[in-house]
Amino acid sequence: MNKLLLLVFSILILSGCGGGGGGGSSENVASDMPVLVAADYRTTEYNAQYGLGKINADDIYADGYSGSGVVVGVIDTGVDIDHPDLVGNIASGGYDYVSGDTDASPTGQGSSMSHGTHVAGIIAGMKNSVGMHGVAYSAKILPLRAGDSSGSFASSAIENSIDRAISQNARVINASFGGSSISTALADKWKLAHTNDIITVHAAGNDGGSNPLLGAQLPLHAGYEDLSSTLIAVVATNSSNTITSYSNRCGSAKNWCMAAPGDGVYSTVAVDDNNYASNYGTMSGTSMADPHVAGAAAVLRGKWPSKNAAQIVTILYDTATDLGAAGIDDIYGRGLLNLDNALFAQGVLTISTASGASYSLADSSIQVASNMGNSLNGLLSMSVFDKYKRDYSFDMNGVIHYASESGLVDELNYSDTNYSSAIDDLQLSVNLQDNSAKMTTQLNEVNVGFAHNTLYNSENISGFSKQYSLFDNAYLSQLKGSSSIQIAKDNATLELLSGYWDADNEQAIKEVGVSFLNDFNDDFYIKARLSYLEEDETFLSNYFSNAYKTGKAKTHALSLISSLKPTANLNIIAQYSQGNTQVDSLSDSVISDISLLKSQYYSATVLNKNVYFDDDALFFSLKHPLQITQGSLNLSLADGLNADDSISFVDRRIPITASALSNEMSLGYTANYAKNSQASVLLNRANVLGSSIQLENQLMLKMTKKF
Amino acid sequence: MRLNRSIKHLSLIISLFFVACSDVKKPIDTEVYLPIGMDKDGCMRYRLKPTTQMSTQVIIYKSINGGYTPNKNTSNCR
Repeated sequence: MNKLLLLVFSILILSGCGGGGGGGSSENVASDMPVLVAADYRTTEYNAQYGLGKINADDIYADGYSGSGVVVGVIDTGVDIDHPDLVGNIASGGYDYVSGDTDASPTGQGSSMSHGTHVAGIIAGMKNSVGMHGVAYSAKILPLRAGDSSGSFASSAIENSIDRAISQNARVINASFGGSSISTALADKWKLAHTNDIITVHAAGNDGGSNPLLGAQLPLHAGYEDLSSTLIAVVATNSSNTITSYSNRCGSAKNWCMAAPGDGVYSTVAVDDNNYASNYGTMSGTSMADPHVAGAAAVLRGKWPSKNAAQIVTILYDTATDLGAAGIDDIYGRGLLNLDNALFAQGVLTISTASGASYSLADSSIQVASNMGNSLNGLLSMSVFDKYKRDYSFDMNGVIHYASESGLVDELNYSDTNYSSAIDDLQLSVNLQDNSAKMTTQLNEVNVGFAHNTLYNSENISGFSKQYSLFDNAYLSQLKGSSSIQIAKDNATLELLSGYWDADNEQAIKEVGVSFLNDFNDDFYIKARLSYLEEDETFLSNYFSNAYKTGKAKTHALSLISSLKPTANLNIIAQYSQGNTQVDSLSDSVISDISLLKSQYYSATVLNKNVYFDDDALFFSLKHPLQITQGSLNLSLADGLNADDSISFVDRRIPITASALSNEMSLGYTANYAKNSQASVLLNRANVLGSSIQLENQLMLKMTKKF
Repeated sequence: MRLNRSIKHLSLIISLFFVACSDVKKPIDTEVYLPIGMDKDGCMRYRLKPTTQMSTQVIIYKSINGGYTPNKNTSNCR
């Protein structure tokens, strides 16, 4: 399965790895290529070599990784460098230390003439729709001939081959040979490979014994213990994922030992080998299991070139499929090579900031209010990291949640309590709001059905005496709860409000407002409202959490409200609000800067009373909800890993102004149908900006009975 | 007599020289194929076991022509 894409959540999430700038991952999936899935890679060529299926190689191919850029040293009996399935994957710089020349092709007709060619095919046979292909079919083979066609290796030839592998920048060395003794000189060469950050992969041997051959046991010897971090011993399993009878077991080397398919493996053979009738054939042994692991190591080194040998080896061990006794055991050691699992993100995925902070990806989200519209749509991708600090590309759209708020739905849940008293001309009112109750209860009033709160002038329609009227502050439209005190005298009102953005009361919001009303006459007045809004963790009700967190937001807003009564029953009300918001950025956040935000809101309502009955009312309203009209965010996004394994960052500035305007229309009617009983009907229609522009329609009914 | 003895010594030295040189060019190891049991098809499997040097870790079969081969399909048991 293409688990990477989940990765992350439904994605994961995880799509191909983002490379690019700053030396990110070396392999990428071309964006203009058709998307291929694992099944597309299970070709005839793939199926010809059953070991590929056993190690789950198809998934990593679908993710776009096959060892590109990695050189694997094959110390063996020579590699047929002209083999049609290898010729394109042969690195320059090979050498024949048996014959003493630069042609590392095999000679002789011994039983091991094709051994090196076979091993090379398992590692990096070309993917060309012919024969078979290797585990790391984009890697390069550095052929180093140290064994003759009979299969015997002189120690000095192996030592020279290791030196050459180091000088030719091999990142992996395959050693499908072994013996019962090893010279100190050779042991020191293996140690030299270790200090040069090369992964060395050793066949466990075919003695059917309880321990691998001596080369694979080097870390057991004094002075060579460190090799256990980069040296891998490999035992052979069959097509049933069971250890073969002839394979040595991991035994004393179990901590740096793993299993791979080695029985009856189909691969390339030397073209002129008389043992085979074609250019391909099967061989068995830990010699064949070994290159599976070498190829897998090459794939991982190609994917994460900044990781050192020990890190790659650890990943191969930790992600192996456990076989035999649970955990590390004497037979299979760390378990069966599982390449898909090795590429898949492990542990908790984290987001890193340029300051060095790290946050859980799952715990970081962006909750967008409608005032940002769809400006974050198709946002950006960034690198997230697993427990091995491996980078995976993450589509940030997966963390963005859009508020469902035409103003039509959320408010159904509101309840509020108002207490007010008036002494002479001084009025004091206290308002408590909470969205936890489904049914509202107010003093001597019981609401049956829906309660709706928008757009009405509560002074004029008692049946809709809820918290949001045209005179309310648009900048507080998304508060989930609040408490406020209003003190009004003459034409001046002072309001103090303390609210919160979320249901857990965690994002505190405070507001101070001053209103002045100027009556030109009984039929026309203008009200000016100055307000200062302070949000602790949100800005204009947009909540960026954890990795994306923002600092304190301060909004200064001016609202102008006018009311005109051309006739005794007709009332026209209009409001315009504009605000500037300054948001503090935090050094340990992905959001590294937020420019000054400008926002606006306006609405107009026509209200006609006594239309059909006494005290009924018909009204029509248009509203342009609060929207950010100017402003941008700067994001410092992780963008892969540098060569020194540090995280690369790139700055992206994105506007957060909606690309289109949202709007709402409301048509309502309310009338008294009996004494102290009132019925109301409301039709709302709204274009809502979220991840997309949606048209919402809503019909609401309300009946009120006073006791 | 003394001359003959010198010639003998010289011959011995020359012989030793060539023997030594031939050891450099040709492995002094002896290829030994150890049987390690039948596989499920009844084919006897062998492994290469040089007496001193390291060797490939591949399964070998006796070939039809009496030699050894890693290709089971050309072994004498098929």
